[in-house]
Amino acid sequence: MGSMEIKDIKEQILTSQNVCILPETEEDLETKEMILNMGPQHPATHGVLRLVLKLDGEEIVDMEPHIGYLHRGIEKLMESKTYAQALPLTDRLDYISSPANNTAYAIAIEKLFGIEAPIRAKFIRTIFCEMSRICSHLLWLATHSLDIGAMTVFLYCFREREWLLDLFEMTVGARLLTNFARIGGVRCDISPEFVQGLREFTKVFPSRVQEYETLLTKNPIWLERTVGIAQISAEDALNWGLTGPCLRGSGVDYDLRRDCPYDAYPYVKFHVPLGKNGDVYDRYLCRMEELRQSNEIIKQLLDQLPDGQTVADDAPDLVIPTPPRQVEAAGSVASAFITLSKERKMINTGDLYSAVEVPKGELGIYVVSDGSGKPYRLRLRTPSFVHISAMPVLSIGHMVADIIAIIGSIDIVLGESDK
Amino acid sequence: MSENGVKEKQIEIADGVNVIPEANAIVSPLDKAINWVVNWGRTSSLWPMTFGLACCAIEMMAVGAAHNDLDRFGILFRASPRQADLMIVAGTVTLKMAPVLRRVYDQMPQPRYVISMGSCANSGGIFNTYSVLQGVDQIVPVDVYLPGCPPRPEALLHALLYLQQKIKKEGLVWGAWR
Amino acid sequence: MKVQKLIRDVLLVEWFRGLSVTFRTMLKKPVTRLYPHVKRQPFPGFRGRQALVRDPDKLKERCIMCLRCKTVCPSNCIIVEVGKDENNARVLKNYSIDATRCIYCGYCVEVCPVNAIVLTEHYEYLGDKRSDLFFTKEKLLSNWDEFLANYPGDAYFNKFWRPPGMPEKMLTPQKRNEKPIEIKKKNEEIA
Repeated sequence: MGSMEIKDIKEQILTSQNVCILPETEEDLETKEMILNMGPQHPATHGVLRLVLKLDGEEIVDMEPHIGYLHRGIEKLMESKTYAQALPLTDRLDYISSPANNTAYAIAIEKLFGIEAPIRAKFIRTIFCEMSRICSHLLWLATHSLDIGAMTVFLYCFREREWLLDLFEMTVGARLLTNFARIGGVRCDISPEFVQGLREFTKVFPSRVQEYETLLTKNPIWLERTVGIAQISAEDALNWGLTGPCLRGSGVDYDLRRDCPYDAYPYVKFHVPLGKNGDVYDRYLCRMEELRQSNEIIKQLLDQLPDGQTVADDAPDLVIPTPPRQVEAAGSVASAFITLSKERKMINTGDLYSAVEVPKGELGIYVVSDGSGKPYRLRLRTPSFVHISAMPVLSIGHMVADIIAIIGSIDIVLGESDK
Repeated sequence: MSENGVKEKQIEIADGVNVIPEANAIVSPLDKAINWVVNWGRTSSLWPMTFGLACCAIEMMAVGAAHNDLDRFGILFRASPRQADLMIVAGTVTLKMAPVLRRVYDQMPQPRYVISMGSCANSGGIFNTYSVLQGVDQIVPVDVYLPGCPPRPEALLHALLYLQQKIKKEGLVWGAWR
Repeated sequence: MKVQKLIRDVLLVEWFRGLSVTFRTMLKKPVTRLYPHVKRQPFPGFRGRQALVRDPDKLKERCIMCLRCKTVCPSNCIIVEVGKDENNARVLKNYSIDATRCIYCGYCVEVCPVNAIVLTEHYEYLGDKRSDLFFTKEKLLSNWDEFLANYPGDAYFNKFWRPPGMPEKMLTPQKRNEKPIEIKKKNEEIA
């Protein structure tokens, strides 16, 4: 063995199969890409979202979101239900802030019916919308910080949320999926205990927001994990269709509550927070400021609350008669309903788009009506669907651990995106 | 077949008999004591797996939060199915998600229990459509059905305590008889 | 600014501020509700288990078989069968609710013209098998009896029978004049 030459040893090494081959050129040092599946069942994807990541080591080269694991066919189901029966279905879209979805639907269908809700109902709907905005942002903060590692904030946020859910239960009878709006107003009036409880909440809430900010805003760990991650410029944000705090975090000044006011928003003054860089930290700051602004809006609304009834006089009954559609054969439905709709033209035919600022962004409802009591087609433009489509452009170039921060910052709800 | 896949057969035992032929069973007060200890261990530390799919997941998170604390019952949420022994199916199960659910259920070690939470998991709920599985009991065996849309956090706690009572009544589901 | 930042980083100022919040909260009273020992009553109007009202005078259900609840239910979970008895009068043969399909929206309670159905405030119920949660007419009536037996109070009135704020002309006459249902206690009946 000792008398072997170097080239013989090298040949022996190269021909044997159990020895690793030493790299000779630079190309041999390159790594291969790996495909990693962050499956539908994962503690950090908020719901059932599947992400297929193409990784070069720890860095993301390409990413593909797969949705549809919660597709329940809500739009198709609404075509077979009357307008009043479809309202509980809109609860299940963005289930964290369900009063806001109910309000969006009620506003769209009221425009279709051509009725106007009474002023007290508008105020109550706006109060509930702002309460649901606080609920949604609190849950966003709880899950976002839990994923990044701060468990305390999760427990504190849920403590505040329970207060608001108790107020919902006091008025409408359910905590989460409230179904409180009606075409033409609100289902139940608010009681003096509710007003008093809400006033106490608005007095205490700013100090709680200050607590969350003390724990997170200047925390070095939080800053390192969120500053500079997933930066998106204003032009890119507009091109990709982002709305809501994601758009305002990049500096675009667009808020439907101020620019196209609906319900009782013309009666309140509030400030719309804007970000500068468009990264995860700016979106966090935008939402924290929105918590404070929603508190202010609720205070102003409670001070100006008018009296009156809560359902319009010409609001349709919950049992909406459904005459047959034009294409159905005649003589298939009870004749009483057909004469009723012929005498009084109940619903306008045509189509209509109406958009509302829900906590996640802009919720647009496009209704096509054919004059019968059921919608012919109801298309829901939900913000989460658009935000998930923008995920690849936000996350390419970052590490796998940053994906968790990015999913948290765009604030998606899979029930809304899959419908 | 009982819920855990254990074969069952009812036979009558005369007094004073300690060994039952045809069955891998010994009837004695020692077994009762061992049953009690094993069941106590299982009920006092039920570890559920996070399978929150839709709206009921928010109520499940609320049960784990401060107002209704799950930790005082010994219940910790585990992310991996290999370390869990309870699966709370919370939310709508679609036909696309069903194979994933079955796969995760298969990965859980026995003894494993399933609570079906909410209308959508019990029977499809309001979503009687082309893409929704009409009830999770079509693919996994369910121990407790919890109605509500979504059920209150206290109702989920009630269901967990009921499941604990059910587990305490089990017998001979340990060792070679699993 | 750099010196300030250096001092902040070395002395861990932000950390201590955050920890002070946590320690202050540790000394406050915890908000946990100890569930099986301390049960909080849900607010009146909470939408819980379904029940058919047993009329205190007639001692049977109030249903007049108008089928409005069945028409308005969004998830089609109410099954009503109407038949004719020997005098050719309409009689209720079958009234069932599939509680596994119900979404607890409360529409049936609101549209019933005689206040025959109610979503009680009872939520502690579940099923071992799916058929436990399919409520027949007798089960619904016994749900009502059980609920009244445990109700702390003298009279019961459900919020959705007459939602507050609704104008009078949208309600039927029976709904306008509905009074709370009085609960006869057992010792009063014997007396």
